[in-house]
Amino acid sequence: MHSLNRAAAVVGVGATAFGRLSGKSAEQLGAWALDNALADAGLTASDVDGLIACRVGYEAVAAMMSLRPRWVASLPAEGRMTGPAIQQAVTAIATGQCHRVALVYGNNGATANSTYGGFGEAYGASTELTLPYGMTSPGAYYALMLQRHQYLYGTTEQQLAAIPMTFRKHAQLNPGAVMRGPLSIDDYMTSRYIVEPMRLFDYCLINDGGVAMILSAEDRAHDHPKSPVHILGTAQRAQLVNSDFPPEDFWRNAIREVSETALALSGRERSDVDALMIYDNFSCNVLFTLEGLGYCAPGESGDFVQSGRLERGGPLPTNTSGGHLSESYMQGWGLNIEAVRQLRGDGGDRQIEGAETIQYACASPIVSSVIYGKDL
Amino acid sequence: MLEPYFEGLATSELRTTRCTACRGAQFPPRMACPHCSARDTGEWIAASGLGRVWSFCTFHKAYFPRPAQQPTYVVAVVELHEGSKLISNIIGAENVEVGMPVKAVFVTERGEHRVVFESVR
Repeated sequence: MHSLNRAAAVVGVGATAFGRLSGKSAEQLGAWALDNALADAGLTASDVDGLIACRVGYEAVAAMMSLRPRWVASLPAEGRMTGPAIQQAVTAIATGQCHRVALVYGNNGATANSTYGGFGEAYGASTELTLPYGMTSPGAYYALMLQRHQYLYGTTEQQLAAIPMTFRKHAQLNPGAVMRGPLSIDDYMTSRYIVEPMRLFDYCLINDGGVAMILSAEDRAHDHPKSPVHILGTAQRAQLVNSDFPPEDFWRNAIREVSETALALSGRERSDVDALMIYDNFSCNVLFTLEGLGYCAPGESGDFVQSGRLERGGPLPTNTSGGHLSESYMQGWGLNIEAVRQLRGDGGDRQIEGAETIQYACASPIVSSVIYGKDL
Repeated sequence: MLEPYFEGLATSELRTTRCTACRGAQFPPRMACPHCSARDTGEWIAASGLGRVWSFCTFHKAYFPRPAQQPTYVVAVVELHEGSKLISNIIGAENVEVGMPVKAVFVTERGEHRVVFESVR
């Protein structure tokens, strides 16, 4: 187990522009991002011997980019697969199956007019039991969780608003973010409900875009233009039984287990974590994740996120790119490359001073976490 | 695996399953019991139709074209007295609340049988 630990480092990251990039397929977006990641790593396609394709066809991307991997994996489109994809790449490298893995993600959700709801885009395992009742979309599932959280703990809309407002502040410092205008509490409170109790600004931004990362074996991770960012530890925990219904514990136990495992593999404590990248498909998922990570007691996250606690410059900078709520919904990939950029010191106006350890965490029916370190 | 459920709806009976090994209630039925992992032990039982709202949400966005119901409508996770949950609608209530006691109401529209819930307060 520990041989998988600290086996790989990120040596290149790349992204496309985010927005409505009409006419581009998911594979073209993934290839665009991969081009940028290869350039960032000082590599060409022939230097890559592993490929993980996420939400894009592995065959199309390999053909388009002239990749000749000896190790290939393809994962389904759900964003919950991002952490596991990184974990798989590390495992493949640690076991010597390949040495440099390209992780390629592309999503043409804006061009495709995806809403993640309705016929054909159902959510959950038993659609014949949900669609007749008008139940659809991940957003509605999280709305059920938020309503329950409000009932159990008294979490308020005003408390929740701190999350989209904080991430918008971060996006204003990120030239690549899609939403860069100011977001006030009045803007939030007067915005329309999509599935109540969730408002427009509680939802991620569906856009076109792509993200790619190049992972290398540690023993050759220094042969690149940029300093490597080390993957110190990864972990996941699936909670799929009866996942058609929201979890009673808001995935708290799974998140705790995953985080403790990933931190232990990393040789780090929670107090070593300088910043968080939390899978903010919906703003309330940040609440659930913080409780699972143990930053506050169950039910106290609404209070915890007040007073700028998650802001850059605050005690626990979170989603400094603007995240899915304000940068773009890139299903965790944008958050992972933000962690890398921050640890390289490439954060620009949004740089977190002195960041050495950053944790990515995704709360979903497959909980996952990745710990990144500036140093081993 | 859902035929007994849909047959029940057609005769205004709400059915759920219960594990013959551990007595745990479960819906929808699975090959393996989610409580004790025993295989093929789910037996169909007639549920009382009584339960509580575990959580709910109100759709303001229209995801489905007519003749599907249009916003706003309330989708709830109802926890039945027997212990299993299901996803349904709450009808006729001004102020739905988590924990609210509800009972099943059977409706048939365009040949489709459904079970929705209303407040029993």
